[in-house]
Amino acid sequence: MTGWYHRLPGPAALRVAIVVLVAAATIALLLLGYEWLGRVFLDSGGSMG
Amino acid sequence: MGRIPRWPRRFAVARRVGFALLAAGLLLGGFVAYQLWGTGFFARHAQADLRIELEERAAAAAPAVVPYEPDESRVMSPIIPPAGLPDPAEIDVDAALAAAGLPPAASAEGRTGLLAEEPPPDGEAMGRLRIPAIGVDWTVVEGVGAADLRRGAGHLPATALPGQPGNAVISGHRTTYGAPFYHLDQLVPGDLIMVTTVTGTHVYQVVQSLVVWPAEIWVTEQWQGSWLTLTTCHPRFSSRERLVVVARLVGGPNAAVLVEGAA
Repeated sequence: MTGWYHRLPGPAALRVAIVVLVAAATIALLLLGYEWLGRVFLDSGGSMG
Repeated sequence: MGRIPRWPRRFAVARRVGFALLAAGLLLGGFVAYQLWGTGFFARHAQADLRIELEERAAAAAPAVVPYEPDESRVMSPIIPPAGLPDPAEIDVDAALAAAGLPPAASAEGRTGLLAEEPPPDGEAMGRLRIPAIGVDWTVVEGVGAADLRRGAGHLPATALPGQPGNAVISGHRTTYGAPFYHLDQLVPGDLIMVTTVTGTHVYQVVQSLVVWPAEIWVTEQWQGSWLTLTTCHPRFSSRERLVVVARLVGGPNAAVLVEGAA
């Protein structure tokens, strides 16, 4: 499971920074997706039109 | 500690399918958790900010008295009060306000005009909506865009403000973002709705509930008299239709001017 981490370039600090950035971007994308899915399929907010 | 034996090659596909199902389950669980609790967390924080904003707006506002002339060009409301619905004059508005922990309605004695206010800019606090019958107490934001409705119920800007002539339309989420209108289907004709703006607390009486398609914008038309229309998604966990609750003004600082027989 950690093989991809060890294949990252640079020193440990840089690798950790890359992992944190990728994790943050993934979570942000996931929440945006959840938000869109929720608005389209579950509850658009109830406004008319 | 011996080595963990490798999976036989013939199980490789089953293993991958298992991991894929696990990942899908986690994604789905995350989606449900985000919709049910995550969005409510954001809404609660936004409500706390809006409540402070509304208090500041009320403290700074100076409602003006404007002359009132009924707009005869407006159509009559198609909503017919059901038989047996108490007349506005029969409703003890002050007792209802006291039961909700609110002060008595301001008197309109000696005033022939309406107490009026400027609508707030989009995204700012417009008023506070209370529906004692279903435990609703939410600050209403001006606007019905996605960003507005994440913060609470929203007032449709093109429509009248509560307590003013016309039809004030307020929309809100049914199941997410704190679900302000989760129990809207439980309202029955005669239930009271209170909306506090900078001009005071306006009391409405539920006249009718109906389910319509989202494109049926006739429910947002500006009718003669003073009305409040609440809209939300229907059925729960679906955006397919709209549950609409229509109420008429029966009390508050402008009721004596706008409603025949109101106190």
